[in-house]
Amino acid sequence: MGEQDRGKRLIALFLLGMALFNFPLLVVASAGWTVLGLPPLILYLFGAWLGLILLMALIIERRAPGPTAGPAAASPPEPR
Amino acid sequence: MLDAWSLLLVSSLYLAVLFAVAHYGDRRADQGRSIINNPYIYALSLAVYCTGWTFYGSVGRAAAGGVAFLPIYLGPTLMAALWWFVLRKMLRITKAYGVTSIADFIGARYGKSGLLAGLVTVIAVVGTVPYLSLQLKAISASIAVILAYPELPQPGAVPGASFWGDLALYVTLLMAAFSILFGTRHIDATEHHQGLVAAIAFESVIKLVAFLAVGLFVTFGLYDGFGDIFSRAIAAGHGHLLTFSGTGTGYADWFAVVFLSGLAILFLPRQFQVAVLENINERHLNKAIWLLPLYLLLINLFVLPVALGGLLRFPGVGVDADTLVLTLPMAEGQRALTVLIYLGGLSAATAMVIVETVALSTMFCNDLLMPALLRVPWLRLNERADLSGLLLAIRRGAILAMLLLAYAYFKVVGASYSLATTGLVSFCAAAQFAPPILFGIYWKGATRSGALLGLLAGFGIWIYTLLLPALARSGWLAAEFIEAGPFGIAFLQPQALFGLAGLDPITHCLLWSMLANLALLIGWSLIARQSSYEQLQASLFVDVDRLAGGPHLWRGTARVADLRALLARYIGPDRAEQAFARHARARGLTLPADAEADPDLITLAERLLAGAIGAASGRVMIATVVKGASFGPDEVMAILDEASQRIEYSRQLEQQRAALEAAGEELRRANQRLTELDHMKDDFLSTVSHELRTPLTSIRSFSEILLDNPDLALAERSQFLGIVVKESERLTRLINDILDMSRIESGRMEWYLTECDPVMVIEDALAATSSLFHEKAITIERHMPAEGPTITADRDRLMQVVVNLLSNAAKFVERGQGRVRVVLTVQPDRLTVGVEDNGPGIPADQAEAVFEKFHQVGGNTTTKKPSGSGLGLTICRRIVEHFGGRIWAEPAAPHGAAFRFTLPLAATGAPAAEPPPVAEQPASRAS
Repeated sequence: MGEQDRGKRLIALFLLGMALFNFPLLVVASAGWTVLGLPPLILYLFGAWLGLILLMALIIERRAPGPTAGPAAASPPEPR
Repeated sequence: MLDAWSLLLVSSLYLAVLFAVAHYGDRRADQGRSIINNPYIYALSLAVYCTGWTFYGSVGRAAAGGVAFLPIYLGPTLMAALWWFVLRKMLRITKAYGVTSIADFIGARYGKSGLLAGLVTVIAVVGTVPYLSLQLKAISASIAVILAYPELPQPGAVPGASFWGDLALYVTLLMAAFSILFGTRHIDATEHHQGLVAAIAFESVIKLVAFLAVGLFVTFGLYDGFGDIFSRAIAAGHGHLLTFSGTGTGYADWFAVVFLSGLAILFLPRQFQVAVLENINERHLNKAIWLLPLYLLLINLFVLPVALGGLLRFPGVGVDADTLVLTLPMAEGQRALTVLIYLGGLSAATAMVIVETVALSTMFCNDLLMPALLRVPWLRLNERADLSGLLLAIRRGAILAMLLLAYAYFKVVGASYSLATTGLVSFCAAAQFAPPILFGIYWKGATRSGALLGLLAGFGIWIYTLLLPALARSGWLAAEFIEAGPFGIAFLQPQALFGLAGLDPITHCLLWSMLANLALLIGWSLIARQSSYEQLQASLFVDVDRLAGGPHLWRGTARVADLRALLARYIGPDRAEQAFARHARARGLTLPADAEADPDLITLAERLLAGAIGAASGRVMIATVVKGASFGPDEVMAILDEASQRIEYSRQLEQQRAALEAAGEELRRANQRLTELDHMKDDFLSTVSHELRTPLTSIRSFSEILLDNPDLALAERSQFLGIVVKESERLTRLINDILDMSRIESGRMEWYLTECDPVMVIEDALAATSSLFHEKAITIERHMPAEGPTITADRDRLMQVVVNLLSNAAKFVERGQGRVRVVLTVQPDRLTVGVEDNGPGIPADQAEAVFEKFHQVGGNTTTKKPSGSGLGLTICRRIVEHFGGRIWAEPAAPHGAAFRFTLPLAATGAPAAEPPPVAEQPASRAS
């Protein structure tokens, strides 16, 4: 994954987070029932939070350039 | 539970460990073996975001408003995703231009404005002192709670003014000592405080462990897991805390806090200090983007269970919810856990205090006091020989003063607010830095005056809508100021400005201050003009990747001796001498005292000065020794143009170099290929000669025998002549094949296209080879339709292919048991012809090789030669490929070999105009 792709995906993630932690999804999650004694709002907030973190980690860590290659070294592909 | 002495002992021990960690970190840094040079320590140091407020206040906030504590951590999580761009750019700017603080950053961006940097410092100090006092309050409250045991703390209770009540003061003094020792080691504020960062990371671990411990204790010790706590809380009537409406905030307030905390994670002075100034390697940022949110998630996981557990444990009793973290384990008699939690809270508070005071003292010294002092003529600071001692003394004094001020604030006003609210007030002040920085690093047009006006307006609104009401609530101002507005003008009520009522005070302030700040920054920038120096700095910041290290900003002349003397006054003679020596060595120069300083040296001197006294003062000081250094607008544009051109030029050079390199690589490969082809041609020639010589040799030797022995018996004679004839035939065939081969490969083959029926072609081929089959008694099986589709092809060539495959099959089967199947299948787009035998078969690894020239299955070409030329299959492949088909060999069931070729039905009508690309057979041109 190129540096540019990662940047775009992280921006998309930011926008996703803005939507997740906002009206109206919070209203939907704020229901009265419970799952195993856990209220849906709590499950939703922590679940979405954890999901965002995992996605960030996935975007950043997947096929990260090796320790010797700087960020700039990722752009030119190998000839052939 | 714990008496005062044990508490003092525990606190001292903890701080001693902290000193030891910091000392170790600094020692390792001095040895060049940094312990903080990794992304994990960097991410942990960023967790200085979690202060005593997080540790005690989150539970307090949760007990009152359910999930209302969460947006303070969700904002940073969202912002972390944008660090990829924003923080990275800030890091590059800081490293490129030697920024020393957030005030320096803003000042430097807007033409190294001392005024702006000073204003930022004032905002930072005024905005942060309440926050510092909050930490002292957290420490003090935790001590009071432990000492008061078994009494439970009541809401709003102020810690007693006894000797032990002042334990917080002693802790404060110890923290000041720590900050002074590890935060002001270097005169150059751009140098990293490695020991300090190590200690902060250590504290982040402690507070996380402590909070997880109390969380686990409450959730799984006192109750039966999350589900149990939540169910009981709902049963006990706390269910409203688990819905959004129970937060008591509207969606606007919720979003405002998300937004505000997202800005705070970058622009609080302490966050800027650890995230930007103390960053060692830009690459550490990547991991921190997801590690910090993970840390925040973990430390908040048990906030609600602890809050609900507290509400259930002390029903109806008015316990100060901010202390529930402590009172719960205390009420259960958990001594060790209580100590651990006390240390966790202490670590959270001290980490914040330490970093914040170091950041503020640098700003205060570099951007406020020094510029002012240098302007006061009667102090004659300009004439002092060495100011480096004074600078350090100012910073150290500032740390102490800041902490004592915070302590005083806590004593006087601190009791009026809960922990979390005071923190958000500070966030609002820090958020004012967001517009000038974010616009400053992405928009060259943002001007100094716009930033100045925006900051002033935002700060003014902050004072009016948050700070003054806080003072009024503490009784320092008349309370009717809040309710009725100044002079009774309801329109100007501080917390319902211009009639905007119904919002949380924080949201209210954020809304108005951001509106004013942004409007003035953008609006005024569009109206006002930038000075040329501002323009230069704006370009340097916005285009940092292109321009860093590019232009020389000093064009005038200065004497080396003057520069050295100037530098020696601020950073000390030794360091000045070292810096000059390094510069001289790196460029292979000698620097005699009366020589003219080169622009590089002047830039270096300015950077070093900026590190010690800030960018604005540094520039002023350099200007005193550099003559003719002022820039006109044209000159600035010329410098930028030159830098851009130079960079553009070097980029083009780089591109050309890459293109040349690619071309060179291409050439090298072409050459290698040619060499290979040359070898192949030689091989081909020698093989062909060999193939020709073998039959020739036998013809010649038998002819010689016949010539030399005229009296040979007739039978022998006719046998020898038969051999001669056979070998001549083979020779003819070989030469024909070679001619065919070379004609096909050179594209000179003539194709006579006619319409023909493949079934007929195969029948003809079978007839032509029938003698071969007959001779070896081979059974022929036909699997063909009676009549095939009409195709357009060169009938003779096609027949040549089939004959070749048939005679190959005949050659390899056993005499008497041979069986050859000829299969023709017709598909809509192609027909497939297969010739299968039950001979020994072809090893899988040779299935492709048989199509190479002179390849003979089961041996090399020199021995045991059947009658083939070794070119037959190669020619077949060329012919089939010419008609757009494919030929291959595969094992036949149950044993034997199968050769199949396809001919496209659509394409046979118009065979490919050119022969298919010839792979690896260039030798034909040479033959």
